[in-house]
Parts: sequence; C-alpha cells; structure tokens
Amino acid sequence: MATTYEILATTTISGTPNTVTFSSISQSYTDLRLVANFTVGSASDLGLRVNGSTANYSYENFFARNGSNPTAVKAGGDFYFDLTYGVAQGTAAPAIVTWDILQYASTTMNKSVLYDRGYQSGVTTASSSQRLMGCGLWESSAAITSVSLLNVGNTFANGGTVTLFGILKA
Amino acid sequence: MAIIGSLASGGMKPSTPTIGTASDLGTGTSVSVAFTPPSYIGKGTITYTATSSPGSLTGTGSGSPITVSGLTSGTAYTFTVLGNTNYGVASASSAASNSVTPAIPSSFESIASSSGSGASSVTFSSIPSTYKMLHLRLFLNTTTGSDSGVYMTFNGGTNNEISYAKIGGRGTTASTSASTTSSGNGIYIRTFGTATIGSPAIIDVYDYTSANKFKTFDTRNGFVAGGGSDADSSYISAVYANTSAITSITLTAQTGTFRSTNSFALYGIK
Repeated sequence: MATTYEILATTTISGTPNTVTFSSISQSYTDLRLVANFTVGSASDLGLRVNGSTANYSYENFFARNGSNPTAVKAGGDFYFDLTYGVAQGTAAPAIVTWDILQYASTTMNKSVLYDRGYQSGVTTASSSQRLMGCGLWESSAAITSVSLLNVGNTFANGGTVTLFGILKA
Repeated sequence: MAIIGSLASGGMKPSTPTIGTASDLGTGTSVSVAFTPPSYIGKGTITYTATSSPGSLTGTGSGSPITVSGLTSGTAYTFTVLGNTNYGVASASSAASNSVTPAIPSSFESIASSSGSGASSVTFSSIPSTYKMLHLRLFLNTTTGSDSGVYMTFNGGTNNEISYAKIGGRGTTASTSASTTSSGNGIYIRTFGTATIGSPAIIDVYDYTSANKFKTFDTRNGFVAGGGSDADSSYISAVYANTSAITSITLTAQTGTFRSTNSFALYGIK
C-alpha cells in the first residue's frame, strides 16, 4: 500500500557512471521527488531525462552565479532538461539537486517539473558558486516510468547519493 | 502435563477471554491487544497469550492489554487471546480481533486534496493545528489559458497584509522585485493552461499555528508553453502579517474556472 511520502529507490553512485537511472517506477503516487547529492569526475553539464526520451524538453531557468546579476534562459525542444545550461559544474564539492515531477502517472497531460540546483566550489572560495532554479515541460502524455540523472559527456564521482521519493495525496 | 489436562476436563479449564480492540503502537512492528479476562480462571494463576494471524507471533502477559512484537509493517493482522494456568490448563481461544496494520507514523501526512473541477476557487478549511508546517503541491490549469493566474489567501481574508520578495525569469529576462499585495486578492501565482498543459506550484507555510508572530511562506512555481514559446519560473518568499493561526487557505482563479486536470493537495509536516 502506498504511503504519503516514501522512498521508492536510492543508490550510492559507484563505477563512475555518466547516468543514474531509476526504472519501473510505481504508478501509485501523485508526484515524484528526486534528490541527488553528488560530485563529478570532471566538469560537466547536468540533466534530467525521462523514459529514455531524447526529445521535447522545454524549460525556463533562472540562474545566478559568482555574485553576478541573475540571468534567465528559455529553451524549447531540447534533448533533456539542462540544469547547467552551458556552465559546467566543477569537481571539488558536491552539488545538491531536487526535482519535483508532478502528475507523473498521467496519461493525458504533458509533464511538468520544478527543479532547484545549488553548487559551491569549496570551503575557502566562492569563485564558482552557482544556483539554478527552473520549471520544465516534457511534451508527452506518456506516464513516466523511468528517470535518469545525466552527467552529459562525463561521469559522476563515486560516493554520491541519488534518491527517488513518491508523494501521494489524499 | 497430561495429568493436568485431565483436571481441565474435570472443570478446572478457564473460561474463554473476550477479545477487545487491537491497536497499532506506531512502531511499525508492534500491536497492543486488549481483552476482557474470563470470569472463571480455575485453579492457580493465569497467563494470557495473544497470537497473530498471519505469522503466529505471540505476546504474553498477566492481564490486558498484551503487546505483540516482531510484526511486519504494512501487513494486516488479527489476533486471538487465550489463557493458560500455571497448571498448564488452557482456555479456548477468543474470537479474532479487528484487523490492524502496524505502521511507522509519518512525519509527512496528506491532509486533503481536490481537483476543483469547474469551480473558480478551492478552499482548504479547518486545517488541523497538529503540524509544524504546511506543504501545498498544486497543478494549476484554468480555463483562461495563457498568462493567467491563481491568487492565494489565508483565513478568508483580503490579505492585503502580504509582503513578498520575488525572483524569477520569464523568457530571457531575469527579474527581482519586492512588493505588498494591495488588490485584496492575495499572493499571485502566474499560470498557463491548455487541455494538456498545466502549471506546477509548490508552497511551504511555516509555523502556521503560531498565535504570536507573522507567518512566512515560500512559493516555487512556473509554466512552460508548448515548444517553450512562453515560459515563467518564479520564487517568492513572503510574510503574511497576521498573528492569527492559519486555519484555511483559498486558491482563486484570476479569471475562468479550474479544469478537471487541476490538482490541489495539502500536506502537513510534523
């Protein structure tokens, strides 16, 4: 029986993969939340892909880094939800990323996500601090049965954690 | 022991306990089983045993209630009770108890939900005061379509006392702003909606039961139109300048009504 807020799957990254995938996701919940805390093997872009699809990702990102004025980016028809958008994550410190995927089991609605990513390069310098928050749309009415965390073109360092939660409404 | 058994047949056998209510103890693995002792226990002292079904896990005690441990969280159990004298004479087993499913109490609970289909507003009223904070997860989709919105108010008020700081992006324009609601409509959540696209929003309301300080809340929301032709991403930190505990939250469509594909879900976090 599904409960209100439940861990569906969790993993500790090993084998320096470039993708972490949770598949065969239960369809018994209202929303999904994916939480990742990780470092990367080399500077890279971070993304989210669902159902292995390589098309129809659109999003709006609000992005601030290094104390500069924030910027906004709108993208349509991308290959994945891009959570770095051209600004690579460094290797020194872990990033924290949270995705909320609403109405993921719907077979009539396109899928909406909210995400939030933070990264600080290290304890003694703020030279590469980044914060990105965004809203995305995957234009498909297919129920989401798998989610993949991508380190595009590079690898995740071992030891990071990725956890998928199911959230059920009354 | 066989000799004692013969005593039972001679009238020493305790009568049967009457089963009471089996209750989850909230540990995920244990249940309390209440019963009424039999009026006749025979000779000597008596120990009671509660037995689960399934699993035949047992707990013992000299009276009601008895705790049965080692159960599996999420599995439904019934229990029977019998008495055993120190002479080894056992009563018959009671009838089975009510079914109970041991579970670990959640600190994140669903309070209520609605689709709001066909309505112009949705209100969560009589919100329990038993949580530390509230969490709203919304999938908003009004009949108005593009560039519309939903207002959120507390306690049925006009909520002109909401002040907020907002950051976000729309298209390629990033913006930051701070303001106070003045229209009487409450905080504004921009939305976009079609038959197949809605707008996600997640809202946290902190310490909502406090009767001596203002209430703070955060919103994360946005929308993306098909092909990314229009998009918005907004983040608000706000204060509701009222010391009354929040007991209701109302979400009202700026114009039009909510489609059947809306989802309004209210959660409490302990």
